[in-house]
Amino acid sequence: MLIKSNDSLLAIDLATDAVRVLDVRMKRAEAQIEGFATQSVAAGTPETLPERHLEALGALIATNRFKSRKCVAAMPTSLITTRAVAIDPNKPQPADEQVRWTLQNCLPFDPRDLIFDYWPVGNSPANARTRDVLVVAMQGSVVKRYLAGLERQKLTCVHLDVAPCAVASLIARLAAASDAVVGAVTLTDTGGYFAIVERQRVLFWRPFEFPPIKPGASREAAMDRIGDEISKCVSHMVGSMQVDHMAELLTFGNGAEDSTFSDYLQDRFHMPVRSPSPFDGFSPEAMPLEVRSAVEPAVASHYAAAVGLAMQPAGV
Amino acid sequence: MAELIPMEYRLRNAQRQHLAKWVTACVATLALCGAALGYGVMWEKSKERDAALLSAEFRDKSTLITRSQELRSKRQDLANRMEKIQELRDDKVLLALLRSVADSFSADDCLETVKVEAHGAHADGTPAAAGDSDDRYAVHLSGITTNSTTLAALMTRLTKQDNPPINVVLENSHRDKLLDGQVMRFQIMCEKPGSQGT
Repeated sequence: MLIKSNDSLLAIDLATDAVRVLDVRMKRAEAQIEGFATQSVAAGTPETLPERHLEALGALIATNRFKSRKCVAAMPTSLITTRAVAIDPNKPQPADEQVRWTLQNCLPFDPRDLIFDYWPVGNSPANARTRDVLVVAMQGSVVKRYLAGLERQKLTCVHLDVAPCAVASLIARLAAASDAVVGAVTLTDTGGYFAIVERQRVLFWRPFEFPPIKPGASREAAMDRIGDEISKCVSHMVGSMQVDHMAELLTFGNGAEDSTFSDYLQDRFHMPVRSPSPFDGFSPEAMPLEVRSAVEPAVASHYAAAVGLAMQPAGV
Repeated sequence: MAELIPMEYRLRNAQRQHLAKWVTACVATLALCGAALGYGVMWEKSKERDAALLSAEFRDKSTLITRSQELRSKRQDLANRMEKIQELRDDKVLLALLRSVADSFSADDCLETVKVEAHGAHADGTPAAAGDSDDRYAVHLSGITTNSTTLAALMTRLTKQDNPPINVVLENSHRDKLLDGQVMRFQIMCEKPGSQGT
């Protein structure tokens, strides 16, 4: 079949280090994985990241001959600004205006060129004057560069998300208890992010970076850095969001399957630590055996955001 | 789930989708109309072919009918003629006239031509008019005889014939050479007594 029907799409994770794509087809309201591919992104400055992403995506689609014309994508976390903002419903300004007003002092670009989304987080007391929302913001012109680039590749983007939200959708399938608060650590070679997720909703997330680990060198320094970041996030969570219990910690990405890393996190935070394959969220029927067997465990972990996008109902 | 797609991009995509749907629907409708039109044209051409075939078949049949009618007409004509011949064969007046003429000729006389008008003829040979009685008859005789005496004897014998009775008129007689001698050439007209034109 040369042209796929409307019920197929590409789930694209535009990570900082690579572009990862899942070819997804909806069958009986369930996503089925028909193929997957990764293309590393060429080195360059952060300003050229959209073009490098799109170039890698174009090469990936051409190589793997994906025919889907719809896509959902997760923006790279390095281009996202996230803040917790308190919205006062009693103020005359609408919530969007309050968010924009709050963000304008912390944006690295012109506040007029802003695209953002937000959702309520935390358990505000009944008599609270404000309610907390978590805002994710991105430069509008960069978003338009991505969308224009996708259009040039004959892809229509139906949903543009951020990676932690995609991972939250995945965690809802992987977590032991669906309504528990879960921590998720996603790692690349030089960084990652830690997110706190509850019922498919990201309560808080924070990106971090660490020096590249040289081959043969100890990962302890990097693990300490990650541990410190998680510790900061947990402190923030306990202090500002009155969430003091985390059911488990899930790790994805580079080195997530390393038992040393898992043991480190377990010893430090005294909670269960798992590194499940993102594809475990799919039923055996939803993922053909040849595709499942082709994904090695170390590779599968990198597809957390792409799988999370595929599990979201948007656009399908 | 966050959504970072600008509203204008969503609107443009929605417009494109609607436009694509309408274009698809229009193309499908046009294709359907085209197919229907094509089918109609093909159907019309098929019917035209059928009509042409029927017309040719009708023409063939019409020729046959015409030939059949002509044949029937000819057969009817033949039947009429046969009927007429039968009537002539059964014509007693004609037979009686011929018998009278034959009985009147002797060995001195030679009949060259005889013209019998058995029904409805005037003595001058013109056909009887409508309304005239058809019991008139006339016999024109031409021939040769030995001399005027034998001519007179012939006329006498003709005059004596009474079945049917005839009025004998010598129209013309003159001497004429025949071989190494002379004969009397004559033309006699016999008609029903009392007929006009005598």
